[in-house]
Amino acid sequence: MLEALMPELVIAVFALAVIFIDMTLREDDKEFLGYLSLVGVVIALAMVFSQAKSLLAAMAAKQAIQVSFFSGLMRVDLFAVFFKLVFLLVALLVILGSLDATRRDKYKGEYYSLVLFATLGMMFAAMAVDLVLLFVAVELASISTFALAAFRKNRPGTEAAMKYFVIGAFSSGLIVFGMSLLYGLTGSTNLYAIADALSALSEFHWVLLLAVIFLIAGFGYKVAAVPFHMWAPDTYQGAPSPVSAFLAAASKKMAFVALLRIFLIALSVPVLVKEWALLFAILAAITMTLGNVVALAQTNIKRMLAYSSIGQAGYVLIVFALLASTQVNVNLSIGAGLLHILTHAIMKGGAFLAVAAASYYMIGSNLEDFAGLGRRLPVTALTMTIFLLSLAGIPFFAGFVSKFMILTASVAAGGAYLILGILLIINSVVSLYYYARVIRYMYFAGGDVKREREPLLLSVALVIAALLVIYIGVFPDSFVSLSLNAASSLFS
Amino acid sequence: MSVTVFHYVFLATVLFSIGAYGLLSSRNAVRMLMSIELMLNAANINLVAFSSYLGNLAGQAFAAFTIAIAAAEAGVGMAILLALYRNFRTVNLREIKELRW
Repeated sequence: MLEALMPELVIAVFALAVIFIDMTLREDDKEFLGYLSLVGVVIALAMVFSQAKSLLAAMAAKQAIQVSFFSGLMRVDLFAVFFKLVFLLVALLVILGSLDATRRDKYKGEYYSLVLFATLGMMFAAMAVDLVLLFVAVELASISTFALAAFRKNRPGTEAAMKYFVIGAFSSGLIVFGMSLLYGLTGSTNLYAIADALSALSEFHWVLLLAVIFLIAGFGYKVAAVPFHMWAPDTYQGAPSPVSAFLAAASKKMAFVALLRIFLIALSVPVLVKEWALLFAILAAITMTLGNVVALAQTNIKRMLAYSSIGQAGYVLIVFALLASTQVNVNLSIGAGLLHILTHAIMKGGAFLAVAAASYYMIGSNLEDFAGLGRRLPVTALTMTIFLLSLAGIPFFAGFVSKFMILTASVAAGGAYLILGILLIINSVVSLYYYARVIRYMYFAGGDVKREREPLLLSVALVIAALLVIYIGVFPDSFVSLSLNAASSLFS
Repeated sequence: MSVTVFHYVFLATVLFSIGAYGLLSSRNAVRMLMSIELMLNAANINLVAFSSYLGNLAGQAFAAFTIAIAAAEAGVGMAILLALYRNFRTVNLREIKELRW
């Protein structure tokens, strides 16, 4: 039983070790803590990888494919393992990048232990099938990231953190109130027991709809869906760039995992699905449209990336809307969402890390500051180009594969769902404009600039992410089947 | 008239609404922190009331966790507030406009 929890144990032990060793080190030696946490993440990643392998093998052999324990508090299935891979991969890239990006900062011990604790919370959120554990895990990750956003204690950082904290705490209030109503109606906090109790419910209860609205609004704030998005641009702009990478690539994905578990397991009663699928359809349509349109007007790259990430969250929300359709295979639509969550985590995390690499040389994050970056920091500029093209959905990059999968699912659903698919295409075309503008500034603007030596570890993180983006784009098969299997393990 | 579970839920809803209103209408960061506490505690009242009504303990356990989380959240919130005040010499969010809304 404990074997399934080993990755979490490793992360927890390393997070605590970082805090305690931090106290014994002199300020100059604290870089060691970054390498220590990197080792922890790599070990955990290797363990989760072997978990995924054995689960896939068990699935192929049609054996029991999940482990539940602590009296049904959590469940380790391929779905959870898939998300744990995403979170650990992002943590790996962020820590690798932070080794360079926070070289001149104080409080390194606190920084790395907070990153590890946030990752731990996300990993538990991926496994939770009980409202209590889900809430505690989500809060562990959220509270750690509040502190991370204020890590530099400068003016933009603290303002960003305050806005993030107020909105984050407000959304926690909404979520816990919604959960309390759900508990009152069904008498249980276990998601499967809630599903049983709800299917026994003879008539539709308005309090149930209230609980659904509270949960959608609460998690809507966490995924930054329009109209709950206004904190995201400020926070991503003001926070240090590696933290923005962590927020956009990992923290937001945790909210998706919670949404998927709650809505697909507990609230998938046929009467109810129609209600919330409609809400999600409206949210998806306005989120992707507004995110991409407002991104057009941005002159700050971090802010533009924030709006683009709002738009991308809209693409994932399409998947929830499709669940009401009987035409489309549930595994296909959820698998499409999972794949987009994976690819978006890599490319958006990479893009923010590229901004971090630029700011290492005191290059600002305004569009004009990036002029001539192609000659000044060639590796950063090239990887940034790859991430931006992938975000726009150009073929042979990862973003294309996952967007195409979402599009396939919405076409299969047909009817009114086709509108969502068409909006997806229109928004991708719109987004190409503002991504291409950054690429144009990097390569076709700016006068004579000297080439600089790029920070090594940040470049390594960028190259890893870029190679992954290209690999998924060129050989998508194994990733597509992995996400489809992960989707199907949610229900078995 | 005896006190039923409905009364508790009504109280919780009123508290939650006061908290949400306070959070959305005020621009003073300290008042916002207080409003957040109200919202979380409204949920606690709900949980405990339902727990005693349904006769199972899951709700009380949930409430205990929520109390702990609210304390942690208030701690981090106060720390961020202090850092904010040291930078801007005010806690009025309307006057803090470094980042464009």
